[in-house]
Amino acid sequence: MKRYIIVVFIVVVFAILYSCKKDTTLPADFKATPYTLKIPARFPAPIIAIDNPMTEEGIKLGRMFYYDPILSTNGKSCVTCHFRENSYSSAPLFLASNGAKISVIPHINLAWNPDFLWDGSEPTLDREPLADFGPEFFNTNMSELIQKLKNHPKYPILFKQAFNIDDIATLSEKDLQLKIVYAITQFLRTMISADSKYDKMLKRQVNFTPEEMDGMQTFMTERGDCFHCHGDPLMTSNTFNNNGLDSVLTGSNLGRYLVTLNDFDKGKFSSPTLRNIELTAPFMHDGRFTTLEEVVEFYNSGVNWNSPNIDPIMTKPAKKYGLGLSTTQKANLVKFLKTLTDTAYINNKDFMSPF
Amino acid sequence: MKALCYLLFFIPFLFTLSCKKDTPLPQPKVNELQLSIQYNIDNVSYVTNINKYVNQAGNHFSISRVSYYLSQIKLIKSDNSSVLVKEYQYVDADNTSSNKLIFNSIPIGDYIGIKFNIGLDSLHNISDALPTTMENINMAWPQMMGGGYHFLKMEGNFLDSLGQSFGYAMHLGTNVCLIPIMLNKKFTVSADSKLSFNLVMNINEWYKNPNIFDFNKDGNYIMGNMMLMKKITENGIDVFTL
Ligand code: HEC
Ligand code: HEC
Ligand SMILES: [Cu+2]
Repeated sequence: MKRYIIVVFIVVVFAILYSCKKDTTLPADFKATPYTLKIPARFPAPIIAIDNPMTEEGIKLGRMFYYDPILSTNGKSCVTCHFRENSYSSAPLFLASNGAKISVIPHINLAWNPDFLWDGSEPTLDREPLADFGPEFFNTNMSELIQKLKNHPKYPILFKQAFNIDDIATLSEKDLQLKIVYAITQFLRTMISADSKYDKMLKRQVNFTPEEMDGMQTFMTERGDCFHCHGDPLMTSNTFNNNGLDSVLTGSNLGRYLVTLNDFDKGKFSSPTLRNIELTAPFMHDGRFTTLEEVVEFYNSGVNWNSPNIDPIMTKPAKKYGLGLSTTQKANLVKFLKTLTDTAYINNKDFMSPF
Repeated sequence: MKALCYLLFFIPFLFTLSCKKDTPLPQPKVNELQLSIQYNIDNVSYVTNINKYVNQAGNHFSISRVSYYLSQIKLIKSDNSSVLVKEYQYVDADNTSSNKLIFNSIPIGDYIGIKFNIGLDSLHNISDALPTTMENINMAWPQMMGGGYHFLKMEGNFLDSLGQSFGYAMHLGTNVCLIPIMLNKKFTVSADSKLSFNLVMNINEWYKNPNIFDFNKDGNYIMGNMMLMKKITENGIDVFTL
């Protein structure tokens, strides 16, 4: 009996200690160097995960994983679909297992996204890449991966430095996946773009041409009304909207509805940022448009007013017969969209392959 | 055996004690006044995305979004002097915390009312005048349209003359559309008093008194149309009751 009590007592003590684990300080040999994001002027505070604080070492590890096919059994890595030249997206459409064709979303200013994927089905950046271990992407063999990482000349040290993990093999497969993803998302959060011609113009470092100015007039006023969903400075409102692509909605075109099953979400998609839009064709969730001219013509004359839940911004009285933009105004709007291109971003060496 | 029972009995206490520092004791607050903003539509309760409301013009409508700024929130003393308690506040009807305004350290005395603007006063209604938060940038009124912020965004659907569901967007802004509100209410603040009032917005008041606003006649969109924005501005005077 006595022994029984002692066992209970020990269990209780451990349970108590464990319940307060978050109070214990990290061991002295923990080497990770905290990293603070440099937030561009005029940007709001980024969304940082409390459970994944950024460190120099974590970012370094994440950058390697972003490029390293070691994670897959099919030679794939993130850059198989997220190309630097395309603002870390790519032109070929992704064929999902349900047959839907999906346009690859660029990696740009993700630290400010409150939701991920076209339908916003993933609310947390630090969980999004978990799907990449699955058969549609990397088809990862976890036990094989653990061995490869353990025997690798660099990864064990980096795991120690970034996460204070002495032996990768002691982690469960799930925990290891999560740590890999945490490293990658730390890297993703550093991928910030705020140095386009548009930004420089606002800082009065360059001037817009009269054509670009006119395009901005269309974008930023009632004339074209783009700002309501693609507003400054992120060039997205981070909201779900139906811009009227289809009058009849089926399959993946139902968008947000497939996540919430609310009728009023039918046809809504996460309004994307237009930063680097020149580099990320094809456009819309299903890549239905290949040029920006087509996109502008869609907003000018192709909006389906009878689309369920179409956004009220799309159907104001003055737009009844389309935006009514002249040929020049349409061309100028495209010119303005191209001022959102940030070549310093895609040429940033910090984001390039470390190998 | 008894010992075990005692031990087991104390376990829950041990857990709570051991983690005590996670739950700080609530700080005593002095001279507090709390305003809880609530919504109704002519006495029908506010729920998003359900088409069940009827306005004065007879439009059947639903609401998907009500967000707005309040500014220069002042408590009026019985000698007509005023105490500024908040410069500005972003309110989203669907975000519970933004509808609970708590003011502390209110000077002791007799008060006769509360005053504020719907919208931002001209000092704050300038592009980039507010700190950049996700809410603020989504309320931005583009520089090219005069700059500043939307005062109000009210969106939803209505049934048009053909009985088809159609979106509306009541977006209000620009300095001339600032809506001054004065609500009479006698109250006394004494040492350590804790007052709590409900501030109720009747959303249907936006569409009546003095101007009947009809989505089918006036349209589903007002931003940038001064005549329509004025109609809504004038109607806004009595949307709140205290
Ligand atoms: C086989 C192609 C492919 C590979 C490989 C791939 N992605 Fe993607 N990625 C996509 C597609 C397609 C989408 C959009 C999917 C959707 O919205 O349903 C996407 C979306 C994303 C998003 C969401 C962005 C946003 O703003 O919503 C993130 C984050 C992301 N990928 C990260 C990664 C990371 C990290 C890796 C490597 C671990 C990776 N991807 C590998 C195709 C790929
Ligand atoms: C009511 C909100 C809304 C308005 C107003 C709006 N958009 Fe969009 N835009 C969206 C949404 C939502 C998408 C994604 C739709 C999809 O993929 O199904 C989108 C997609 C785009 C894309 C493609 C982005 C990509 O990554 O593929 C471009 C380009 C674009 N919009 C430009 C514009 C321009 C130019 C205007 C003004 C003429 C405008 N938008 C007005 C909501 C809006
Ligand atoms: Cu507006």
